[in-house]
Amino acid sequence: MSRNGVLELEIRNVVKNFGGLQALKGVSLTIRGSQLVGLIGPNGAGKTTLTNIITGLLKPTSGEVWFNGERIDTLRPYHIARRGIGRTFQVTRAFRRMTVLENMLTPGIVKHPYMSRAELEKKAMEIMKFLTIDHLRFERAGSLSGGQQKLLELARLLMLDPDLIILDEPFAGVHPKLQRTIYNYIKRVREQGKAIILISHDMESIFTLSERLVVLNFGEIIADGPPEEVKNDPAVIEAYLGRDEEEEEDLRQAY
Amino acid sequence: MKGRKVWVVFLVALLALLVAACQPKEVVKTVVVTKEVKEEVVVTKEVEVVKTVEVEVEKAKGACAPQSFDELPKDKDGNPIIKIGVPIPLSAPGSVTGGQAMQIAANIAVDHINSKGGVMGKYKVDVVFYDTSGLPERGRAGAEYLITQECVNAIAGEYHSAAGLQEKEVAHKYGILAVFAETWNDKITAAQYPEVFRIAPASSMVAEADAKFFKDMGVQWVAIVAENTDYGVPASEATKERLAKYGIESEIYLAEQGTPDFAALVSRIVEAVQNKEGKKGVLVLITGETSYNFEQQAVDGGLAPAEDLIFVANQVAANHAEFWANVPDGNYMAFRRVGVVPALTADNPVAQKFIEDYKKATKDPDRFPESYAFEMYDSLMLVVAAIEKAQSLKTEDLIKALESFNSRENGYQGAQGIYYFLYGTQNPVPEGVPEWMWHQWPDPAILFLQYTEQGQSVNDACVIWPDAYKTCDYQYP
Amino acid sequence: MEWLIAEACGSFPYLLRLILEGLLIGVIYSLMALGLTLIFSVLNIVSFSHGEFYMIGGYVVYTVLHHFKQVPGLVAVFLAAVVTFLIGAVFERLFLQPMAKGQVDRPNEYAILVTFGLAFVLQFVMLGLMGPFPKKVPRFFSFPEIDLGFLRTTRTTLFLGKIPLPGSRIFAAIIALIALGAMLYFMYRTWTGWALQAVSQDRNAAAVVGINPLNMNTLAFALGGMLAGLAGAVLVSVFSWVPWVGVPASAKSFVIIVLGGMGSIPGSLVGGLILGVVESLGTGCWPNPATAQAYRDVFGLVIFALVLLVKPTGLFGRKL
Repeated sequence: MSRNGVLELEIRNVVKNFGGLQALKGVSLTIRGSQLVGLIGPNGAGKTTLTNIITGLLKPTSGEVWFNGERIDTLRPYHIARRGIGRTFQVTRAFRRMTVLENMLTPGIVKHPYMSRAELEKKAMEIMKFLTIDHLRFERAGSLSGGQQKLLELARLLMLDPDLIILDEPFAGVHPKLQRTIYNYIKRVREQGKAIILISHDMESIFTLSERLVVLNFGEIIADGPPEEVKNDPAVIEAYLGRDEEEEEDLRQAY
Repeated sequence: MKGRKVWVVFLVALLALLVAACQPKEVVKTVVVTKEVKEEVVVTKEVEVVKTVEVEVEKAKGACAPQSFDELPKDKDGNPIIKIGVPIPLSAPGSVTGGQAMQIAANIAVDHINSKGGVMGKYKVDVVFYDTSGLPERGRAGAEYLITQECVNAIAGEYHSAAGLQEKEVAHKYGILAVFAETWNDKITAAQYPEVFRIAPASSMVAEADAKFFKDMGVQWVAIVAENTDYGVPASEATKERLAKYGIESEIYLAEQGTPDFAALVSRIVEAVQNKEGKKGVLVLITGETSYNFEQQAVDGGLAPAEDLIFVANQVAANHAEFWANVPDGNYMAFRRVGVVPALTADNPVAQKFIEDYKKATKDPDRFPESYAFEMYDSLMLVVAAIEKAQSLKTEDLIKALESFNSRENGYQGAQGIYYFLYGTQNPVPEGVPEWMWHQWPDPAILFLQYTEQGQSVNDACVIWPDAYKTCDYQYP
Repeated sequence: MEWLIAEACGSFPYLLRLILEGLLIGVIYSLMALGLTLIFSVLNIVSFSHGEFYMIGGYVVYTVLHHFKQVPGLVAVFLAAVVTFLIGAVFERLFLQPMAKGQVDRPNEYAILVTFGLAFVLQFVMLGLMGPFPKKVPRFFSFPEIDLGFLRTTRTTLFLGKIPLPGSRIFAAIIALIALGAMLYFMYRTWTGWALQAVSQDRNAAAVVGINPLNMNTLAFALGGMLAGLAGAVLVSVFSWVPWVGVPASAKSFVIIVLGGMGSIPGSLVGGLILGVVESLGTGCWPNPATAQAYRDVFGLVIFALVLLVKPTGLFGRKL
């Protein structure tokens, strides 16, 4: 649990190189207490790379990541998961050949080795009900629709009782009705006092939900603050939001 | 950088190819040497002068066997030693059981020879073993190695025909004496090489004995289960032929050496046997350890010896400890045994000494030496006898010496019997006599025994055939 | 039809006998293949030492029963399972973990070399310890003699009508079935089994839900080796045992897992049974009696090739 009861994620000057390509050029970010941080940026900005580094699937080339007073960039992913950081993937990664219920229960034992199966199932059912997938619990995860699998991933990570959740494109490719469910999920999780990092291209949701917006571009943070401020930041507009204007300019010139 | 490495590799490969291609080929050349006969002739009438043409086949270079006793290498104490090469199987897929027995026997022979001071009382014998694993390529490599690297004066031994067939070629190529101990394939002697002798029976001799045995037992159909090798295939075909001569039908079933699972084959034979009238037989021509799998599974599958089925296990059944451990239900199985049984060696002091030392060396007071152990011992003794008779190390002299043993009366007393060779360079094989009789000992004992009690020692097993050596009748379960 | 199949194959009892024999040995093939598929699905490597675990399982049973004749056969089998499990676990920790931790440059080649190396080491250590001469374990149980007409037994054999089924093979198959059942229960109904499945289905996803893939690797390799060891432990009373007895067993396991679909548990089960039956029927019905047994392994390989032509990922294989 967090030190002093307050959650703290510190990313200290993380650099990540892939051969000659520098994906992250010295990113520093601190999240203290429960917040919903929106993380946006153009494709290739480094959002998923940063997520992979936080959750331990990648190691930074240099720099450190600290969580609740403990250095975590040297730990293995499952250690980090057990310390309370959960995440979803852009392309859903449910355990396809296991049933929905089995998908839910598998992480359960990790966090609650002494809970009885009945109790775990009760907890799982609660979460699944909220995400409207409880009626699918005996179905093979692989036979669910894309959107339902996303819901499953979201449900599954709650079994770990994480303090910090990183959601990577939760709305992408999801039916509008299910989007509503996900939206509600995010709000409810926020109400439970967890910290959330939300990565999305859905500008409406991002602006509505985020309390703080961090903008990543070419591996660097170019803006970090309340959404209203960031929205009007010229650097942000130029780099990310204002691309349409650039294209318009080019077209005009072409005439 | 990478491109350069590729070029280097390519060049090296090319060089290697060129070097390999330019190796001088070994050619056995036929050199015609004309002996000029100079004679003063007073011509009174026209006389035809007959030119003597001797054709000598030039042997391949590379053999380094000492040609005289002065050239012999010395051991660490400075004593001259005569080296003899012994190729035997000491690893799979060859029969390790066979090879090991032969190794023990060879060492005993060396002890016996050297304890008398050595060959002619002066020259100790040193044996160089080579593990041929029963494989033809290893037989060839082994013979090449022994002859060209170890410089042996002779080769003695070998258990598997597949390897032996190659070894005889190499021995002939280099002109080195080879006395084969336990290779049965007819072609070993049918090739009629002057250097090659054999004291084991030829496959055809054994096939004849097998067929006669079944005929005498009144069998009307035989399942021949053979190994798919240079031994098994010709042996099974020869046996089938001879059985047919006696009016007995048979079916050949081949199996690979090293097969563990014979269940389906057993089922097949059981099915085949069910519909046949009269007495049936099963003959196992798979050597070595694989035979145990077949034999036990035959019993498991219902193809056991019965009132109307005579089951002849492979000759390795003579190794009773191993047989009973691996074929616990093998009671009432018969097995062929080439070579002598205790009763036949009682009056032979050479045999007695060998048997005693063999039991000591194997630490088994019940272990009467197997035929291949006897043959190994005797083949080494024969080589030494040839050197002593010829008083020479030259192959042509050794050949003459061995050929001088040309009848029982004129033979060499070994542990298994009196060795002699009817046909050779001085007395070619006539029409009507099989080609493999060249340099072939005609008298190996081919007996059939039977286990009649669980766990029985081979010494107690009855000889059930032929009449000349029989000690009791075949027992039906 | 005599040119195509042997005449005897027209007879139903004969066919039934061949099929039953094929199933009896097929069950044990399945057990061994399950081990190999488990290793492949979790560690993503093909273990070239699988046959050697089979060989060691047999030798452990032989050694225990040889020195302690009073010990019941099942206890010896259990010990064989324990020993092979431990060998697998220790080997995985020492030699395969570096690969899983990303400390090795070429993990696939490395895994092949290292498991090959283990195979050689085990073969020759056992050759030194046990010698090259064939060993055999007497059958574990003798049947009680019963006679129910259609079904009767002698001490060694069970007769279904006229079909004799050797007792040693029946017991081997029964123990294998129990082991298979236990293994399946473990995989599908226990926490650890689910964790293993999770890692085999998606390694990274399993990691981010807190499952330790490294421990699962060790467990999978140890279990895989144990299953092979169990197969050997039950077959040592059927076949004569030598240090290289694992080599053909290994080859058959490879054929089965590719035939059934690599990484697929139902695939290895079905594949093993199919191979057993095909080998048996092939040998029993091949028209030329001379070559029938010699071609035994070929029949399985032909089916294997045919299946791969039609479905390259194997019968139950995951889609590529």
